[in-house]
Amino acid sequence: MTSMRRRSRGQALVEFAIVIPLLTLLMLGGADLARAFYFDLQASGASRAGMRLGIQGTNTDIGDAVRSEPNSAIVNDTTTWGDTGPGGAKADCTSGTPHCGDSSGCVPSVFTGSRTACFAIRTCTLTNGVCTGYGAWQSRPAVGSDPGTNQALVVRVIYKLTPATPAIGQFAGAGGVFYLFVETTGLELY
Amino acid sequence: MTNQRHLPMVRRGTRRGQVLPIVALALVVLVGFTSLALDGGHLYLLQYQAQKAADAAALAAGKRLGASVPSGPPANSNNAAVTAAHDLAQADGFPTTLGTGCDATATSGGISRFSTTWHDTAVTCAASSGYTYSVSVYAPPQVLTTNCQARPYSCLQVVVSQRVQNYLLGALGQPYTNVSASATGLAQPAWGSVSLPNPISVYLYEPSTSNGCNVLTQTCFDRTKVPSRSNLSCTGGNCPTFWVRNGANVLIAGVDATTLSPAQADTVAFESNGDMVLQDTSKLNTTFCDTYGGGSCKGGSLTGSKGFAIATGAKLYCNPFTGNANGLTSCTTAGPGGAALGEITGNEVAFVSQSWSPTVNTNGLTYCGGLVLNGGTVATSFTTGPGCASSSTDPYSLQPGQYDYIVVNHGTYHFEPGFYDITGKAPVNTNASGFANGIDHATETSSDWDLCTTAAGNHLACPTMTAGVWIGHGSLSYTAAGSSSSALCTNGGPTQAGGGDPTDVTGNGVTFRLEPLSGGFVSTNEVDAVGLSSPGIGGLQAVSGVPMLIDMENNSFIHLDANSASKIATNFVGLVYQMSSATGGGVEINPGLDAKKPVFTGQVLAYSMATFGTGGAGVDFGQGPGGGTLPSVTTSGKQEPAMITNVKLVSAGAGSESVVIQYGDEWRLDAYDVYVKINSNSPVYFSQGIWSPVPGAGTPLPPATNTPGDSNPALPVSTQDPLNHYTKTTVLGSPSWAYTFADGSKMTIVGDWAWGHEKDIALATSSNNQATITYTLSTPPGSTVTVTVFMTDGDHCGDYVSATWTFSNLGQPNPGVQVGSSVNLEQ
Repeated sequence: MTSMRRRSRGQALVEFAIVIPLLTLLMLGGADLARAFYFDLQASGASRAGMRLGIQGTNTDIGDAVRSEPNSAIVNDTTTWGDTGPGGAKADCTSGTPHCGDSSGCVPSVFTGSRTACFAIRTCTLTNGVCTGYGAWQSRPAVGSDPGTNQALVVRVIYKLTPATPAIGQFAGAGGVFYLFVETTGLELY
Repeated sequence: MTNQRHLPMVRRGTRRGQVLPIVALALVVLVGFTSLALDGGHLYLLQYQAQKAADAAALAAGKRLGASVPSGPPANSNNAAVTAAHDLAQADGFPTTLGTGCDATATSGGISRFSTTWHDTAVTCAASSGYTYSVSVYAPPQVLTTNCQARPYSCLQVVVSQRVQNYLLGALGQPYTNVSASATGLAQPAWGSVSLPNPISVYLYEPSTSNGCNVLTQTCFDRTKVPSRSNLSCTGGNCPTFWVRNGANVLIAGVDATTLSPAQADTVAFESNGDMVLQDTSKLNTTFCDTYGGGSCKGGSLTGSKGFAIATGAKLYCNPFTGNANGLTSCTTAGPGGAALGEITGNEVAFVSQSWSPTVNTNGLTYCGGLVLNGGTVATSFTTGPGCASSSTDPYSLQPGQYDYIVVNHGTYHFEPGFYDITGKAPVNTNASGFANGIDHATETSSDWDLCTTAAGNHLACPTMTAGVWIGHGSLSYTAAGSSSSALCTNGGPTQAGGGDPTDVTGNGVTFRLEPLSGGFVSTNEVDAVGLSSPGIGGLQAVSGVPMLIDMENNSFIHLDANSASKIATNFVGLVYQMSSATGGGVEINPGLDAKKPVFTGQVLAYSMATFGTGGAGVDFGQGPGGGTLPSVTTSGKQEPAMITNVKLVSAGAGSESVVIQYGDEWRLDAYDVYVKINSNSPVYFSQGIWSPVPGAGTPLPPATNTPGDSNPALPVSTQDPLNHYTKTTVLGSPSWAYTFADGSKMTIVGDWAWGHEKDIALATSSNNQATITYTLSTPPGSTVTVTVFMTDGDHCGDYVSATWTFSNLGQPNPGVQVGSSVNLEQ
């Protein structure tokens, strides 16, 4: 009995040692997945706010609408948004200023330092629901320029998520991070 | 006992040996729940994305509905709003095949309804499986919000749906979940959101003694006394509601209600609540003109079945002013000197109270302070407050904002478009020399007898008179005019000359609000010229889009005058309103300002109205309400509104209409830059026929690299028109050149014009050039048509004019295209 008990004890420990990483991975993975869902939702909300302003507004700051969308938990500051944040070089999207959002369409290299979010806009020609003829990033038709009936505005928001799970980070490639990508297309009509 | 002791040990041993199997079993449950969370989270995310797509689609559809105020639901899926819903849903991740196959119409609750559904695969309309995406449109929505109940056909509901393949739920017998989201777009057309007063040219609400006005406690007319007035206010005087002074030549032209859409019955051109006095000595020059049904105005008469209305018991006195009350008798069928006044019978139509007032929003206005301009730059001329900078290109421009007061004693200044909220009264100058620190009354002469006298011909100095906005001319020091790049630029150049001695004030798209504690708005006879116009309909949110020029919230006076010999035309375009609770004050217009055209184009709603001076015409409401707004246009010269002397929209036969623009300037018209823009369409350039190649989409218009033959400016002969796109005809002896556009519309220019860029035009330097531009097009849909005109003159500065008018459309049964509409999301 004594030897048997000792054997059982060892076996439990070994089994537990095998199981623990698996469980941890499962939990962390679940947590990461939840975080990914969560921040995707936040990015969606921000992108949607920009789309709405593109349709409704005429002389309005799309950048501010994206960042200060009340349904989005992404903090509205320069630390989070970088130079597309408030006061940043590409933050002002009021009419007459060419700098609206990121000029590269938020490629990964813009996420320097502690920056986690980026937005960018561009126009396209909408034909039967398909966007073609994209304009340059950052550009929005000037007020009163009458961009035409098929002009659409694409509002892109990208959120950089660093997974807590090391293994997932490895799958994500360089830097071990995910870039959550959300785009919303709306009519752009003054 | 033994069993009891051993049993737990056995059990314990069993458990110890089965950690892995138990964990394995638990893992199934764990993974299962994780997968459930995964499925749930995934669905939650998709749900949000569906909402996003539905919102984008509903907003786009609403925007399209806003472009046309519908009288019924869409006919089919080819409707622009319905198609927009499809396109934006697809662009945001819900691709379906657009088609009319599932279009359905029904009528319920007295409302006609349209609905349709599209799928990404070929399935039946009511299919619940076999597809991944579906998009449905309901117009009006299935459930109407309060706003949509009011205007059901301005609402459209989009429902997007996606059949999502589940991860684990599939294994649990739930392979698919339908994720769907709904959004409703509510279109708010510009016209519908603007509350305009009834189309009455002049509406005066000073009561008469016969309808309860007590002359001892109120300002109203005492029939037993001579008409008189004290300085700038009827308070203490004896003012008729409408007072035409000796020598005035007043035209009150009403709107032709048949041009409104839907066409209205005859509207009254003029309404007065009290006694009126017309004091023409030799003949009756006053013209009340009711243009209903295309009727033309006959000078010196009261024309039309509903030309004017006065309250029951109120009287219209036509006699010459004889200096005593006994000289007043009611107008009869025969006017003074035997002039026929057959239309006057005293009270043809009852006076109807107009309980209209504008909705004004002053939020967000910048506080600037008090401004006294003596020819210097605006930024250096503030006497109180923090001041407001001018635009970077013109130091002589005023910015919209909240002002204590504005005084112009000297100089050329321009009001930038926007809202000027005036809260106080201007001080009177107290300096004996140097620059004035307030209103400088020193140069006012007997020409201002109408401004500050108690009886005609007896000019009295009025040294204490004040106002909220005072545009006059002083005798004290002034700052020399700012330089301009070229001496040939008569109205400023690229560097925007301003300041100087003569008082010239211009502004397009401006609204003045004179708050209760402020005074009135005055321009004096010493002013060189004043040209001010209000925003068009929907142009200024601060006044709910009402084309307001002056909103006076007190009992003071609006006195409009200027020197008739001025080099640019003086005129006021817009709606003048005095608060409906006023007990004194009113509007004074000096029709001698400019003999060439109506001094005031628009509408007057005030306590009383008086007219003075000679020549000219008074108020013309024939073009409907509204003035012009300025789109942002890159130009080298200065805005010169006086170049356009008249713009109107006229019928051009069945199904078409013409915009007729009159040009007048000391330089020839530079036809190269002329464009006309209808509603939100692309601008149409007269010079388009010489563009080779025609610029593609998105490139600047007209093509920057395609300069016409500057060396030999001429009419479009073959060297200028290598494509032979222009045709020459003769209209009334003048050569007329026409260009026909691809859509069949046609632009014609007749008169003094040249072909080329202004800096190179050698032949454009004669004087008094006149031209007429006519753009004829198929009648666009809509109750109103917004016309924007841009043109440059042939001077060396590129002076230009750009202005927008909103006209009542001609004979359209259904309202349609609206400019400046907005759309709300009704969830």
